[in-house]
Amino acid sequence: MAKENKIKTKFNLKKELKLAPGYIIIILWTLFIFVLLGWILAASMSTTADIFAGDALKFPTGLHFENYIQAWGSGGVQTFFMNSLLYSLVSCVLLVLICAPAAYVLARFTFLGNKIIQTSFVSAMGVPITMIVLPLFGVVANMGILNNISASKVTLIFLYVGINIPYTIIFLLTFFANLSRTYEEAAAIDGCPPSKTFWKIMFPMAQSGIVTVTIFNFINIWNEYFLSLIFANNDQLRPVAVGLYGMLESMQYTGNWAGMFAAVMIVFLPTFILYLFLSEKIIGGITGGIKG
Amino acid sequence: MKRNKGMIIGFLAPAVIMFLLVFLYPICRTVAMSFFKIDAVTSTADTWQFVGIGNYQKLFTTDIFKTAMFNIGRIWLLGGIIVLVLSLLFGVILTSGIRGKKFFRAIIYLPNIVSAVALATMWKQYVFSPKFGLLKGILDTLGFHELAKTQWLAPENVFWALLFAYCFGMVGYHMLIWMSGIERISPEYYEAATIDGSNKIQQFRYITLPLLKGVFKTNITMWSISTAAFFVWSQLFSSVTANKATIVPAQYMYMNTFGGGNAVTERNAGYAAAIGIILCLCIVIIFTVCNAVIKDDDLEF
Amino acid sequence: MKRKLISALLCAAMVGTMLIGCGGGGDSKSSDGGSDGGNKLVYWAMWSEEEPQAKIIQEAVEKYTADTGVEVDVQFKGRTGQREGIEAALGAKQNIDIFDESADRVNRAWGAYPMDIEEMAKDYEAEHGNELLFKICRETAGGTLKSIPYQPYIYGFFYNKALFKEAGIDAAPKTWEELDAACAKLKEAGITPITGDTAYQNNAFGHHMARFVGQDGVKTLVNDPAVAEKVESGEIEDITWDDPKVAEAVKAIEDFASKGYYSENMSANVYPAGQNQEFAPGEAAMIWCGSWLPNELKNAVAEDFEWGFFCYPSVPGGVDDETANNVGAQVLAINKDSKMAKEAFELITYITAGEFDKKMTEEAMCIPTDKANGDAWPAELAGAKEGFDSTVTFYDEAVGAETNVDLTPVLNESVCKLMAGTMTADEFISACKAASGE
Repeated sequence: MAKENKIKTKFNLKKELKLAPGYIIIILWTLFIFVLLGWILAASMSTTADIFAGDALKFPTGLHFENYIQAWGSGGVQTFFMNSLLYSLVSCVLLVLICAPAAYVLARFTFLGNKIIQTSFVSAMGVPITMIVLPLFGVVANMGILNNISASKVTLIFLYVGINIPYTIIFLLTFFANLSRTYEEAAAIDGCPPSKTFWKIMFPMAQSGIVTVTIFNFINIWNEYFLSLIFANNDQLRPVAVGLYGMLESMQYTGNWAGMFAAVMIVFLPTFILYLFLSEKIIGGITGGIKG
Repeated sequence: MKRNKGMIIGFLAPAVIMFLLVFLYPICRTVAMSFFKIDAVTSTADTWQFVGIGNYQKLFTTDIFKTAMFNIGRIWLLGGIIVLVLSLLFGVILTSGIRGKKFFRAIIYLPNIVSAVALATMWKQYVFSPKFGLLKGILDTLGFHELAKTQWLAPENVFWALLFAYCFGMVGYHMLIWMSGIERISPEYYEAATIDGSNKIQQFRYITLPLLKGVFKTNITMWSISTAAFFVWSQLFSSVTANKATIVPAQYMYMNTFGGGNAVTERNAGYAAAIGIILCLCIVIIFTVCNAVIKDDDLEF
Repeated sequence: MKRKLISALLCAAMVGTMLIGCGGGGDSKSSDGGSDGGNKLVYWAMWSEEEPQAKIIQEAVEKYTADTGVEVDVQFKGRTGQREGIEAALGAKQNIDIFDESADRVNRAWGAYPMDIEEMAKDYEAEHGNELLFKICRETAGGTLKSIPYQPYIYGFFYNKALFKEAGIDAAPKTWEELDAACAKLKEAGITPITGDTAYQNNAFGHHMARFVGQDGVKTLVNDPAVAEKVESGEIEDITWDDPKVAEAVKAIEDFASKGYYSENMSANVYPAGQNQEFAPGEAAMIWCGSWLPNELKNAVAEDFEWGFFCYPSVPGGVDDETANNVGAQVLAINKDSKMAKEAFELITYITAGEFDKKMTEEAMCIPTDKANGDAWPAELAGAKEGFDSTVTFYDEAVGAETNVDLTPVLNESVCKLMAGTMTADEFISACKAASGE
């Protein structure tokens, strides 16, 4: 990342000019995104009549923050939020701990069944979620877990982890496959056992992949709908996606579209802040960490 | 290799055990279900009626399923080209040393975290609106008045409208995958190339692209998987049940699982399972082909 | 250095979440007892918390608990949540006493779960029951009563009275010719006569076709698997897409389209574009929709908006006239495994009768279900009341036009194109014929 530091230290017109086409493309696309997402933000502070008259960006009747108050008013948002935070964080940590070693082994070693395991992971991702979740629900229900809140939470996390294992492993496979073998060879010569080599050397080297997949996992689990709907069928267990999806639905049915967009903003903000935190603080740090 | 046996087992066991617990039973059940006529996914096995390969036979003779497969095929191929090219372009630009990289990266990824319900509503009611739509505004400003009158959501155009809206949201995700790949390429390659006098485009062609083979594979696999599960966007762009122009297999499956629209229709979870199995096979084929074509064993850097 | 930061972050996250986990677990212990103790009613509702219906149900539940001392656990699932989730939960024998959805869904699709309440509901029906709605409940449940109706609805043309006056139309059209004349006048006055959202066009088409060939005719036309046996045994006549009556019906729409009666956005109006962008601001005069429309548009229409309603007009030489309509209702049912059926039924009466039924009409612009509230219709639905009261033939949802999943998407696209004038009657018929598997 020495490159980046150089740019920061001095402004080089010639260099910047060379990058101009890149700037233009990126700026146009970002502008497009700003207009679109800006429209959602504007709509959330507008009224339904204004939105459908095409005046969302003009605010002919002023700003309507009461949409937010109304959207927030349904209560229970705090419970949903804490539940989602718990499910997402614990599942993400467990996923990394379980999947990184497995992906490493699958990427690095040839052994009987390697390809079969990889193919089963991939095909598992193709199986529709309804076909996985509904039969599992039958099994879990028969175990009598559903009437106990704490056991249900553990079950939910277990399922979030299980469901995301194939995705995480397939994602990490290439990252390990592309790492140079010289590090392991050097470590082996030094007498370092392979498992230690993994945790001490290879795991940190794949961090950009691990963080990327963790961001995806986090957002997936935060927004996960169907599994949560079926398994978290008690108010105390409900995560944000299910709780707020209902809110969106009700705003549509009552024709309160401005309120719906306000609800969207409320759902969106936590993921956005967490995303900013994860991507800026962690990705930035890691790329520096490996190369430096 | 022998001495690694313990480690292989130890590292794989947790993942494989979890996988078996969560997936094995449902998958086997789904495969079995696809040979039966079943009222609801949750029906117990004693109410299933064996129909052999009847469900599959029926699928391949049903026009609407063929339409759905054709639509998803178009989304996979055309959408895949659009998304992977755009996201690679953005990834390369962002890693080329421009200012505000982190800012741009965050903004481009942003649409991925906004709820699909909101995004789709925005596209349908704002961008594509024939009255005050953003697209109409842009085309009018550019002087294409005839084009500006296009009914983007009419059956003739809605597929393209849907494809574009969906791709818009997916670019950021694939861009991140590309970027995490590009960032792992040692800057020394580029420094050496710059000293040798090669320009940015040559560097991209001869350094970046070959070294991104593995990441390319990841991108294709991920794109295929999200395409197979493609459902919400079609649902949001349709009327009550599905539109012929935008119907996809997952949506057809949903109609056969939970009933379509407001009317109560015949449901057959076995038929739905067969659709799932076909989608699943498609993914396995794509993955296998990718593995065979793109070998990254010889890549070392 | 950075590596340490990451592991520290991960550890912190782990510890933090463990704490949240334990905290959560501890808190919930005390509240666990109730739900499996069996002395608490569990009600899965099809509404979402923010809807006015949900708020009124919540009030009714609170009053019920105050009166009887029986605790109720209401889980607001929303439409999608209920449709996707309840069958699994009922199948897994979860503790659910009451659930609701449309009559068709509860009694047909989930017909294995509701309890027969014919005996239990006798007195209630005599005192409060709306004859028409109870008939629908019995019909959908195969002849016996398994559910209590509430929140009835009717499909029809809603119109903007001010625009009709402007165009010089005195009375709501009753026949196809009158509708034709009215549209011509509107067109002349520079008003778009008819708009709509693609979501409801199968329903409109169902009504249209049924005016010519009746509901059974529509069902055989689309090859509804449920009537296949009756057709084979000759109990009902098999109508095919080649039938001259079908051609006549399709040509009638083609004719309207060629005269420019339908909005130019007809095939591009994805819900709610038509109702919100064309009907509410007064650009179009008529729209085909269900009686929930005034409630959905209450934020979007001007305050002095005048609501009119008429049923689908009759056609010369047709089978059904404007007394045949798609009338339906949401229904509440009791799980057949419920240990508290009596209490559950009492709660249902709180929601569907008297005070809270009236409140629904006031706050959610619903149609009353209790006989005693017969006059409590919201002013916006006064026209719909006439149509509702005059109905003698009850159509199924979309008059059976959506009963063939393989045809529905094609039919919808074709109807919208036909109305938009981008498809001819002949093309329409051949497209539907191919897709319905004839």
